[in-house]
Amino acid sequence: MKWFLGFLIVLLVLLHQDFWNWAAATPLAFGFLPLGLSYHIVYALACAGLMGLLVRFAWPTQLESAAPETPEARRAEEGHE
Amino acid sequence: MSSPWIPAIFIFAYLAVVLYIGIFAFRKGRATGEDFFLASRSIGSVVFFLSLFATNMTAFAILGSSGAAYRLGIGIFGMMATSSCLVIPLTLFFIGTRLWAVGKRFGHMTQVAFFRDRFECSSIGTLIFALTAAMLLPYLIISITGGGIILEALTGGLIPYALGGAIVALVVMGTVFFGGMRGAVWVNVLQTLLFLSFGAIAFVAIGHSLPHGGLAGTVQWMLDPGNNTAKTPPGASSIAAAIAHPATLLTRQRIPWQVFLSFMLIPLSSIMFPHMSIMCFTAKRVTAFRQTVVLYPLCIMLIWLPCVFLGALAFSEPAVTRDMAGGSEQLQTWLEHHGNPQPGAIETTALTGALKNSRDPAAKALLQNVQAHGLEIEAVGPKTTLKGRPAFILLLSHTNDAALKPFIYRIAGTNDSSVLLNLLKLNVTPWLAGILAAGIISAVMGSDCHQILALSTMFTKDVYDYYNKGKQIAESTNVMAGRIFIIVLNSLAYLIALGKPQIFELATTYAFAGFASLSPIMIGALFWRRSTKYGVLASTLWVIAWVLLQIVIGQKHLPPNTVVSHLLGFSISPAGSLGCYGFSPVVPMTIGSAILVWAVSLITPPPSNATVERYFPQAA
Repeated sequence: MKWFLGFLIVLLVLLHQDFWNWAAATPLAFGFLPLGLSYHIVYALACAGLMGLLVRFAWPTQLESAAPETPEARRAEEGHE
Repeated sequence: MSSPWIPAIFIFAYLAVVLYIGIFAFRKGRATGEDFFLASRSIGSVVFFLSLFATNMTAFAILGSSGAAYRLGIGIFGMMATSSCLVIPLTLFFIGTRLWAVGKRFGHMTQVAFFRDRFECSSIGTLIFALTAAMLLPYLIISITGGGIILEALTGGLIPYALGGAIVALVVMGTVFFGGMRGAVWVNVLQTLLFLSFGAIAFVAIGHSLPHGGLAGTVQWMLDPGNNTAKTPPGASSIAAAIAHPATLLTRQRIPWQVFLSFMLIPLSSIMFPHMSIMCFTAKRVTAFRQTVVLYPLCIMLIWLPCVFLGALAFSEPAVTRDMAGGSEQLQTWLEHHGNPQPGAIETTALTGALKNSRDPAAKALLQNVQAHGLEIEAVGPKTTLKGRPAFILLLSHTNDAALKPFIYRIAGTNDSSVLLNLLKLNVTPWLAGILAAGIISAVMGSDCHQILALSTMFTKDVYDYYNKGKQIAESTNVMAGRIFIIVLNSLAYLIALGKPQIFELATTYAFAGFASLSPIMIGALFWRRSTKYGVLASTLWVIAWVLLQIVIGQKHLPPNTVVSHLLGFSISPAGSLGCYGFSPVVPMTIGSAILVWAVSLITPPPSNATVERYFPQAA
């Protein structure tokens, strides 16, 4: 799964450079949104989707158990308990 | 009630609420450094997301984006916004969560403290502290300058620049002085909600009022082949090209592909800004990052989309251009020195020639009208001297003479940050403009609070506290030192901002590239146990050299496309910075920085086993 997510990240990096839309303003979405904007709106939604997948399948669970290891960190932790 | 008072009332009400939140947070706080600087690492998920977002949103997201779109078109959305939609959440996911964990485990409160410990070197931390503080300080100055300009513009001069800047500086200082991180974070919640609403309300209100029949009609007008027929002379400016072909503003043709590609690296700067990395330490649990990274792209889109789109469409509104030109600093300078024009201000000779030769009947009619109002336009010798700015602006903005139009647009283009402010003034009622003005001010102050707190935290923890290690400084003394730094830094920033120095605008431009090119250091520190202090030192010196080079070159005001070095491919970009083979400076800076961290680390002794075991327990 992690390889697939890595592939999706690379894919989105590449899809950001939509050179095929460079000089195109049409077709207009909803009658007023130029193609360059509507493409990148979908792109932003895809980014949110990708982050959702990363959170679901690649979340660094080992970090959740991080605990104070130094006297300074322990003092800080005790200070707001 | 006169209309300038209405926005002023809304803005003052907003500022009063902000100040109250800061004081309320003070009453909830404790006198410990951990509480004042990091809100005791206790921020919950929802507040963490809203605050982190406000921390990273500056006035540029609202005012700068619409101004850039006015000149360069809708491509700004892809170039600056959706690149951030991908890169910033990824950095938060991979780097932000790890930063949170090392902060929790080892008690670090700043990235400098982390670097000192991870690379077992005090000097490296001090060098990075000096560089990041130097790149962040200009932002404080710019925020105060921006606040002063916005308050003056929105209240029609009722609040002058100096007073406006002082008000913003005092409110920000008060909030952070009393409330510390907790105050800043609570204020951010209000700010994020305000400027998220701003985009939607502005889009609907202004969109309906645009000329040529709202959004759809204006887009069709710009695409109409009849409005895209003029020939552009070789070497024409971007503004002149826009007049000839407004349809290009609805595409990405006006942005070079190298620049568009370069901006994929700029959002790497986000996590390296001290105020952003310090925010990562404040979360109560690492799970606070989960919803943040998913919602972040959506919120960026909601703010940038309306601002960029309206900025591009504003080109079709002559009144907006006229107002922008009227407020332009270049025009003011030229008018002050019209007997002795400043080099590079505007093409005076060409302008006066075009004015003298204009046979536009509309211009003649306006001229008569202007003279009837007691204003003068007189010809003196080979040059034309103009008396009365309104007459000048009126003449140029209403003319149909194709030879004159590029001048007015070029003058307007130098004041492009006011596009959205002018759209507001022209298209919405004063009451609505007042509410929206509070949204704009909140964008300015959202990041300002965190920048000043971050600088104060760094000065207190990385310098004062660090170099007084053996002296057993009481927690309350630490907090007091932080508060004193807040007052000193903010007062200094205000005094500098009074002179509206352009050098700091320059510095912030390079700071984005500077912070982005420091990201390989952070990636190395967190993910590569073989990375060494020498690699980090080489990378940091590389970044410092580039930032200094950019500032030196920027001060020379070389015209765009000037070749600085054929061998290295260095030339001046349209934005005035030093590019490399057409790419923005961030590309050579970041790639060079990454190569240096990697190569120099490999040929120098690795970190001690103890450090590797602490930071990479699984690998050990």
